[in-house]
Amino acid sequence: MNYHETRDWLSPYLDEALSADERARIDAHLQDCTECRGELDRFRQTLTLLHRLDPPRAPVGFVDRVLAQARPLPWYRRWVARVFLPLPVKLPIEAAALVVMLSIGAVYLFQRTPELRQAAREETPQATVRSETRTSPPPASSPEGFRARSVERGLQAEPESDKPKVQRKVAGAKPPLPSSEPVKPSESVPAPSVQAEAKKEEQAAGSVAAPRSSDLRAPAAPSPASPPAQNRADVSKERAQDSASPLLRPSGAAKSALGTAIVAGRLAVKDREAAEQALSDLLNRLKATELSRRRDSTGLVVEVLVSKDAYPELTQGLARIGSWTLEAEPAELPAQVPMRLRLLE
Amino acid sequence: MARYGLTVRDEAGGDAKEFVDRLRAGEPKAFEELVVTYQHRVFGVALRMLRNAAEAEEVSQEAFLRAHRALADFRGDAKLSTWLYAIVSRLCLTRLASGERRMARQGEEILMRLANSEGDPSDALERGEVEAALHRAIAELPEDRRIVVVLRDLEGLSYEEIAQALDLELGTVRSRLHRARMDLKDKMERFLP
Repeated sequence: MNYHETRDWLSPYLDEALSADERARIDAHLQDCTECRGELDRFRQTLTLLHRLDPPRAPVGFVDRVLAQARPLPWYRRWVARVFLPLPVKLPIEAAALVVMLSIGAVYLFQRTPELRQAAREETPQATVRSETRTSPPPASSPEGFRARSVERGLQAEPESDKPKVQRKVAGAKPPLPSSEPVKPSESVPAPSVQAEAKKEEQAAGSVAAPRSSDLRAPAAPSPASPPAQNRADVSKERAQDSASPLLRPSGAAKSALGTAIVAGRLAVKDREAAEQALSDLLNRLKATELSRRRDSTGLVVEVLVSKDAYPELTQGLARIGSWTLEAEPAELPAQVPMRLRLLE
Repeated sequence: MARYGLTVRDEAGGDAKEFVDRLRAGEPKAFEELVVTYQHRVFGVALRMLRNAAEAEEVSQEAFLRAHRALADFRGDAKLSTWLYAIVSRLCLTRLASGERRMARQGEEILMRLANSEGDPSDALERGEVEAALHRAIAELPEDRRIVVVLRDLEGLSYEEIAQALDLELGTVRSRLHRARMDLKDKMERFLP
């Protein structure tokens, strides 16, 4: 083994990482070579310096920091981190998604809730009036018109959720028939306040239909076009009645007779069942036609058609059954008098 | 420290089987003992390699966390210490090779502060100068040689353990160590008697 070969093996020689044979060969060379012995000494001294170095120490708190990181996070912290972190990225996306979801939810709710749609319609009264001008019912002075109105009221007595359907049905109804007996509105108005409300309704209708001012100022001389305008007002009023408090309905019924030939009245009785039976007997005896009979929250509403001749006897009979209060009566009665009776207990 | 050392190591110098079983079972206390026992050695390797205390702590913590995640799969083929040295060595070499190091070479000052200043002031001054030169010489070694010197001459691993930790051939370990020592000897020549 020569000088160069020996130098390559000095490192493992010092580490005692050689086999016995390799070590014996190097020992033999070192005995004869002073240079290699000097090199071995310098190697050993260098390693001595290395071994004297103080080992570094981990900083204070190192163990706690490692353990804190190794400890599993509680589920809610992991959930928050997964959902919200990194904030600058996820927060805007989540906010936008929330707005979109709320918008979709609001539209869905609006479409599914008739009350909300009804409220939205009421916020645009002119549009409602326009639709009503197209759906004016036939004048109630004729028996056909009265029957049509009865049908309409029966439909309006249905739950709120069916109201849109009712309006569509009304829109598809027959066009109004010309009235053969125009009624003077002033003669059928029972109270000034009611008259004022009727005027408001007519003004609202007039914003679209533009009735002549003489229709409002001079009711004593109505033009042939005035009955449809009055009927428009009737429709508006009666729809308002349906959405109003039940306590207001009797007066609302009286208002519905404005401008029509309907006789309306309230019959207060002590025993409703007995009164109903007595009323039926009375109608049969006078050969009056019962058009409809329905119950609402205030009582029983009966609509009948009675001849002009039998009308006085009917009112007398009603006064015998209970306390009869006439709410509306046209000045001139037609041959067949339509009546609406409301039985109250 | 002693109580942890007794728990971690058995009398023959190997890992206590009971302790390894506790670690593999995920017992938090066992992991704490592991960190307490090996914290300085793992941190020492990282500091010698990265020459920056903050980076060394970061890498050391990562080494323990990786060990924590992999403890269930620890088969016991190598000693726990060798396994930990392998993890931290690879993390250091990866970081050095990636170029993602945040701080410039401040290591020499940090390593110089490690010099012991106890004893006679003149001796301390001389010793401090020698140690500073030695730290500098170590820091200037190529990374592949430096890790071998650190593991062998500073941490005391055998050739076989170094080969296992760094996944190298035994001959490669021997040659790299020899060249590293030659470099250190040449640079420390003026301090040798």
